[in-house]
Amino acid sequence: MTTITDTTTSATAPGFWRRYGALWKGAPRELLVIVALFVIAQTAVGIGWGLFSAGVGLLPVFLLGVFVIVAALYAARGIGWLNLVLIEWTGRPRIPRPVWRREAGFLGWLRSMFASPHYWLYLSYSLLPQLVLSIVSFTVAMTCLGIAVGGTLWAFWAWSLNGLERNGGLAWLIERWLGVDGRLLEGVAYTVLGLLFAFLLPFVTRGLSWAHWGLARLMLGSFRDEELERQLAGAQASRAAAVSAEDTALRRLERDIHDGPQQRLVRLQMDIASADRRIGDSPEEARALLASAAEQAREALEELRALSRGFAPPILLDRGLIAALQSAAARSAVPVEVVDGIPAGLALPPELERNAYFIASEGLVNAVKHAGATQVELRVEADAARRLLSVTVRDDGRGGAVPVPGHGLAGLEERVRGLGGELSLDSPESGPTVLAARLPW
Amino acid sequence: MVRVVVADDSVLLREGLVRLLEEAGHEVAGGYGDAEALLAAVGELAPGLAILDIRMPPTHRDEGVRAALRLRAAHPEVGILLLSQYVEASYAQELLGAGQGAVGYLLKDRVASLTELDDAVERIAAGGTVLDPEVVAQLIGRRRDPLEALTPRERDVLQLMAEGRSNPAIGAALHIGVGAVEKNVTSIFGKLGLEESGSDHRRVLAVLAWLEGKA
Repeated sequence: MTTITDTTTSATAPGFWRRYGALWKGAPRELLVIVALFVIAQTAVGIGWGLFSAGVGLLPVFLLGVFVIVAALYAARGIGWLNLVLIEWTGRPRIPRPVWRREAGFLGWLRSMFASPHYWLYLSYSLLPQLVLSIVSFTVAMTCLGIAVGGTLWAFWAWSLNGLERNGGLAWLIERWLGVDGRLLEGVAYTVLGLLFAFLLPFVTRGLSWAHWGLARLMLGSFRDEELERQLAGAQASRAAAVSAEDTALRRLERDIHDGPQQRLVRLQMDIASADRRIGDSPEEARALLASAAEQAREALEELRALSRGFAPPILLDRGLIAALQSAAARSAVPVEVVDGIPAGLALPPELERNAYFIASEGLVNAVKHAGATQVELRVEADAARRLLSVTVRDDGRGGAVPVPGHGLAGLEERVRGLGGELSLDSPESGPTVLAARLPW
Repeated sequence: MVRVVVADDSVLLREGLVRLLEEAGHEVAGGYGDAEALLAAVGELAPGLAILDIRMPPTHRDEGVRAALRLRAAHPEVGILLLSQYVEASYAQELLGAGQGAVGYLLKDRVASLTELDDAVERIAAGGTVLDPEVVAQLIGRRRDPLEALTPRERDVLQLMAEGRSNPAIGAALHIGVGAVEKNVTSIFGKLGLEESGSDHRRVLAVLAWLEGKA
């Protein structure tokens, strides 16, 4: 039922054309955002400079000027936010937002506005760098688009120029220098140029979109220490969650032991004691009591085994992750292929193996139970250099999986985050579903 | 009477096991705390059966399984019984794949009953196979679909057959006659597309091979 394939190196790298196609998929959105950013920058410059210079001018009328400057800062923050949202919408990575502190009281509020480097960075972003960048990127993008569309479609509109460009056009130059009729050559040149620019267009839009992202990251993003602070808070939260989850699990285990095997062992003791007392005068009764004692002992063992099954399968401890996954795959009702990408001789920490096992088996259960899969692939790959273990569960089920709070997938997400890793889920309607976890160690 | 050697690192369990074996009339030639000691002694003691725990020193992982495979290679005439607190179907497959019968794999709870322990010891010493019902259940769980074709009675018979029971033993367990068992067996082999073979042990192997998906 199980097939084991050993691939330490993945063979299927996406081809150039596939990547190029993906580039094109993002291009319309990127173009739209470049235009939008251009329009916003024009407006923002007006608002920003207007309010700021008015505020400075009104400073002699003390409070009024301060308020106008505060308005300029708020406006800059709003515009910056809008830019960030638009840039991220094109698919660029999320830029960590700054921490906007606000102190209590009126003076505290003013102080937190004027002392915050972020407000001033946002304002200066709108006042000059973003204006320059958006004009440049708009011009470049529109030129490329124009040549791409105009050149490629040259054959369809050239007739309308008939005779108009006789002195000065490309055809005219070709005729003068080469002494041949330039009309056709000109057409070929335009079309080739158009096709070239059409080919390059997605690279250009992607590049410009990255330029916008870069400037925004520099001026609108959070600072490094803020980022660290936030990560620390996140780590503390996830550790607290892990601790409390462990606490709950321990408490449940304690109760399960108390309600189950412990009761049975107490009863066993009683049965043996009574049997001991009766063995002289009533051997028959004693025998019945001993039989009951044996039954209690058997049940106690059964319960203990059921409890320990909840931790991790013994084979995981005995033979490691791959053997345990193969065993789980063999028990599964649908065919499962286990792909072993752990370099030979690499020993993973037991804690990591345990978590990887749970993620894989949870994914397997989901694939079989909820996705109605008929074929599942479990892939485990360890990158020793980057100290990264990846677990991928791919099934051919019906797809459309979303993490619902309190359910398996959301629980998995929490577990993975608690380990400092990341979980990704790709599950389009009608499948296939790919669940991937990357765990550091 | 069977001459037995035992390896289990828990003194408590080892002594209990030795007592039960002696109670059943078998001779315990030696008891050891780890697999290496048992392997070293087997050549000299020439036992009919070696009983091994799975988790033993030094690593407390699968020492018992690995020792069993080595024992099978070095002394194929010695029967092997693996005892464990849990069962794992893949261990049973390794054990069965190592040679011709005379192996057993049971949960420790089973041998708490004198009759069950005695039954297992006798059957393995006679060259048979003894598998824990839970191992068989794990194996059967893998091939759900084709087994749908079997009647509940036939499934019971299949389970007992895979545990290594003979036809009379299956009849006794299900309270039916040997003739009825034979009829069920023929029907099962027909439905699963297996060829019937003479000895009990070869029958177990055929059934297990089918359950593993190899036949």
